[in-house]
Amino acid sequence: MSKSRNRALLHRRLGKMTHHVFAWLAFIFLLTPLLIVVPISFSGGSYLRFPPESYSVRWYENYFAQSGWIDATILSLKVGIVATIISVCVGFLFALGTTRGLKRWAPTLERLAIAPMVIPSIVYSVSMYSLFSSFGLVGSWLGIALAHSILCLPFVVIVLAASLREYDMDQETAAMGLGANRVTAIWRITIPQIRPSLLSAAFLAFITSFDELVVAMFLSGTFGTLPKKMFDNIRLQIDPTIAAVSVMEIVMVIIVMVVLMRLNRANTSQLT
Amino acid sequence: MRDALTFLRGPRATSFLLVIPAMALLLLLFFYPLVTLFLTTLQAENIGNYAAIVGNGTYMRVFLNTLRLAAIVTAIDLIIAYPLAFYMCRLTPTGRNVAFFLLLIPLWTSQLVRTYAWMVLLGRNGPINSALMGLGAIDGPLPLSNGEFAVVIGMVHILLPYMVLPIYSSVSKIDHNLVEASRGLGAGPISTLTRVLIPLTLHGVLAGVSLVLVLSLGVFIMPALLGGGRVPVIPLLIEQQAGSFLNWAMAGTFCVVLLVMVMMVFWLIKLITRLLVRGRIDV
Repeated sequence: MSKSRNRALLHRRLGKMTHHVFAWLAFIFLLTPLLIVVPISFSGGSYLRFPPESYSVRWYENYFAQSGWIDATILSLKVGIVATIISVCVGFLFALGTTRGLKRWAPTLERLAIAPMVIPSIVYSVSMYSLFSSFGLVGSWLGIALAHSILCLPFVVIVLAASLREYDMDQETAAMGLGANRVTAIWRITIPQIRPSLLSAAFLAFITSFDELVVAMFLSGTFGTLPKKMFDNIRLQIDPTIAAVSVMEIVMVIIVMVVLMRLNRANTSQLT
Repeated sequence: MRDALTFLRGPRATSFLLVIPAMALLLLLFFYPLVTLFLTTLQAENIGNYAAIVGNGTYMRVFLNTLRLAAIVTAIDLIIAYPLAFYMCRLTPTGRNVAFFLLLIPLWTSQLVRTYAWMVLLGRNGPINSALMGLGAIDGPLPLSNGEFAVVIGMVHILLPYMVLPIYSSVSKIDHNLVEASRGLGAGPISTLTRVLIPLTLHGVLAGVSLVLVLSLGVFIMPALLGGGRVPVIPLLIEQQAGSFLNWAMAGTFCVVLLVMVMMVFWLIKLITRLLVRGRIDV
């Protein structure tokens, strides 16, 4: 009796161990690609070798010295900021609407707003190319920003609708009972309360636009955004400048994530 | 008249106004271009493209390959994500935050950055080959990059968080007493898994499967950069038709084929969900 119980205990412990090891292997699999680019970005040689034979910061210098890289980065920042502003403004109003008066319609409306997430971006790019070429918007950065704002909208809506559903509406009603009108109540009571979610939504929107390749590839003319420049660079010559750009992007993401997690400690899962 | 006025002043009308900007943007810049694209492929001079595609064995093989690749990637992601989601639920709150952090960093890093990293990792002189050769496990470098293997690894990596998150959310809702009850009633680990845990998490699993399947059908970057020209998928066909041949009509027709595939996958999973999940809940 006790022998079989011991065996069961042993089995359970073994199972737990395997589970532990398996999970950490999965995390290592997720993180290795991000870690591997760090030593490469500091390599001294001019072609890929791992581990690098010597170390230098020449690839970072190369990035900052070439106007092609800097121009592409500035363009991507511009497109990203405009797409973020459009999608967060429009998405916030939308989420206010679906979480209040239109509760019955909310599932349908939200499904429509989330659709851009699941349509393959290449299909969307081809359709936008035909639309924009008739307006002469192909090759304009504003056109890319408009198209990106559609791709950012699903993330904004998912994050903000979830946070507005959890928000206690009575606080807003109380403010109105004390004499504020609805706009003041939203501006001074609701927005400050959901600020962490607004920031996560804005960050997700910005990242979505900043990393987007396919739409930018189709809609940009002769110039290119940062992802397009990176794509062409990877295709033609793999030099470690890409690794330097990658490390800077990863560091940017980690900094913003740590800040957001601090702000949003209670609800990390919402950041998705 | 009076009804109309109260409607306009009421919360529903304001909410309606709030939804309009987003809906206008979606209609104008999303649904309208997609519908136009579809209608263009049906015009008299383009409709022949459908017949040309169906009659072409090469194209049909590319379609099947796209589906096969998506199925492989989804299956691998499911096998990794299911135990991982359970693991994350068992962690302490701090541990769970760390795990989420580790899961979300890759999700938020550029796909190009990650693809580039896999090109380095799997390359002829990359760390994996050097390590294996250093250990004496192989004599020459394995051809890991530029092929289906590399594309599958890259896609599994990119899409894994999309599988973990929905499964995690359904696992975190499981009442642990049910597991204890099943054990107490004499069920072994395997029958607890198949008869308690899997049915309870089926909803999350199906949500993750449909998301990953749909997203993997449309992936462009990995086949383009890691495939070395040896992994033909529909997105590459579309880019080739539009970018190299400037045959936008043909590109549009391929787009419709891809969209139809995406919708069929959606409906199929929805049907399965309805059959399996609702049946369970009714019981």
